[in-house]
Amino acid sequence: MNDNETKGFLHKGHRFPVTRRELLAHGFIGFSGMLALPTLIGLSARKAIAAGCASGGGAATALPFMAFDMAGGASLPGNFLALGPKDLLKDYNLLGWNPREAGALNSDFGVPMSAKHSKLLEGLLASASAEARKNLRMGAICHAAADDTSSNRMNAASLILKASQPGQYIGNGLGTIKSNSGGNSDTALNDVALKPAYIQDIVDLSTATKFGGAAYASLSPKQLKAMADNAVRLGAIQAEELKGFTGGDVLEDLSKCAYQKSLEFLNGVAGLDPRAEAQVAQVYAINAQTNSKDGNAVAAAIAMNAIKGFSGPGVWTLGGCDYHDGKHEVGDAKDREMGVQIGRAVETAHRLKRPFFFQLLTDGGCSAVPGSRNWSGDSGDKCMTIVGCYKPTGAPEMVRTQVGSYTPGQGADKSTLIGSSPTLVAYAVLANYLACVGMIDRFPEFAPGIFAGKGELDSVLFFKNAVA
Amino acid sequence: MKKTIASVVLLCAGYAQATSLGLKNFREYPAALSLVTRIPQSHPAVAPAIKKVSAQLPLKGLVEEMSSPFMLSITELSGAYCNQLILNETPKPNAERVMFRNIDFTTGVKQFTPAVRTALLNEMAESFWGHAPNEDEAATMQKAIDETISGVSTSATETVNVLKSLCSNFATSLEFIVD
Repeated sequence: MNDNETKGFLHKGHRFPVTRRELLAHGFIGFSGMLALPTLIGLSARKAIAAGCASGGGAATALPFMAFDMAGGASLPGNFLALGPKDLLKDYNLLGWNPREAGALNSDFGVPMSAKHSKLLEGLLASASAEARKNLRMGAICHAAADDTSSNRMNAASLILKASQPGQYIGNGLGTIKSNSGGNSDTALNDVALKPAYIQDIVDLSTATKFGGAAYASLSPKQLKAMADNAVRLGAIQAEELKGFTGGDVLEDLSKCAYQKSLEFLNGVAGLDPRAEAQVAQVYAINAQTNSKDGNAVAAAIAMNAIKGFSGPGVWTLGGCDYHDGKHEVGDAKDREMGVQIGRAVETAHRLKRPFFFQLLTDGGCSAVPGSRNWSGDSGDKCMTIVGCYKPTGAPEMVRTQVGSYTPGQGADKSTLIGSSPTLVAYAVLANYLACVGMIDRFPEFAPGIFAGKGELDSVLFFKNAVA
Repeated sequence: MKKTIASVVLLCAGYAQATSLGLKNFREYPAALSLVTRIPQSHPAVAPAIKKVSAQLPLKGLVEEMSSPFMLSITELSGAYCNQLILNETPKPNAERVMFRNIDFTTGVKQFTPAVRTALLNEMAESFWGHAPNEDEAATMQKAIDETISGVSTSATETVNVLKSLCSNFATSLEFIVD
């Protein structure tokens, strides 16, 4: 309905339609605004959110997590070695390199990488110091995934959030894509209450953490507090009245937290802008003059706030990774860019003396012109997910470097435990996250029924269960 | 038989929908504010704020999308609307106003007598909620007025601050944001 129609509607003496049904009935919003029936929120998720509020923001996240998403189906086995069930594959001519060449492998990080051809490795080496790299270990999960789609439910960020502390100021985390996962690939855990906040501009951080705004400039701090206090009181009164409706209990928990958080944000929060944090600014080559919308600055904001525990899991997506254009240059550039971002995040964790865990994922993969690194087409079975763990106290102990395997045909073996299921890949990431904090025994609590068969959970672990 | 089953299913779905709570989503919340305040979403005073915060507003309108960033965003957005509403109403004769019909914008906070407060709160509640405030709601809003005017000057600016603060409280209340 446009402005003239609005005036006409009101001129006829109608009461203002303010409920959804009224807005729909009178054409003020389209059908796409239709109410969706509320889903049942996981009780543990609700409790986690409420607990985060009760502690007044709580302690920093024990093990910060980020998902790095290469949107489009990058060639991760063109960077990381994919083995068969027992050993090297007969041939790697479709994967863009030959691991049998002399000096072909760099095994510094656990799973071997292509020393000669991996631009992802090149980016990592260029951006993370030797001291930081020394304590980083990575493992590769071999699996298939659908190509060029956002529907692979393999982003583990929500699973991680459910199992860890919410962020101190931005409970749910940050992502650069407006989606349930915050990234390109979908979340494994379909719970909108765990959706990351969307950020495309560092200024978005202040929107998420500052009560008020320019319109309230004339109010004194005392008056602003009075307004926030009243919102809390009114919220409690009305939440009680709404408890009789479906979803009322959930609303009470979540709204109490949300309204009370406003009091914490009366003066805003300092320390969220990476341009003002000397160590982080140096790592990301940004400064106070860097535009707040600069992609690299936004990446720095996501990484820094996740690593410091100011936000929940960070999700950073690199677009344009559907790089099978018959050549290698675009793929090289994208791989290197992702390597740089991962390296910068690891270096940031190192400088801040914080541990760091990440998932590198992509939707599918691509196949090379045989014997070259010219990527010629999509190939969903040439997919891979990389799991990384950095510990400032020393490299985490690994029990294996690969989960699943590739077949002689140079694609993921879909008959393995998680070879055909992107969702199970996300749960494997969760399992390794918990192992890195010494909590693998709690995996069944966060993932009931998953990897419940004898030996299954152990079989997806790269990292030994850490000693607390 | 099939028609009966279909009817029952529809009735149940309708009943479930009627008793299930949701939040106004990123389209509905600004639309509702525009209707209450008579300020179109395209107005330059509110359009930038809508654009800025819409990513933090509920996508699907599920109660599970209630969050701190959402609350902070609607506080900011309602501030833009309330600010412009006050600017729009100030020059109008009392009888022609959408809201604040018994407020003198040239006078300070001494005008907030019990009668003026009651009329103001009833008027704003009717506009935002479609009904008068109950006893508890009225009491907390009265307390908010007390706290907002405590120790302030006699300047008419403080009258605007009271209205802005109340307007924001109504616009960010559960009664308004929940469907």
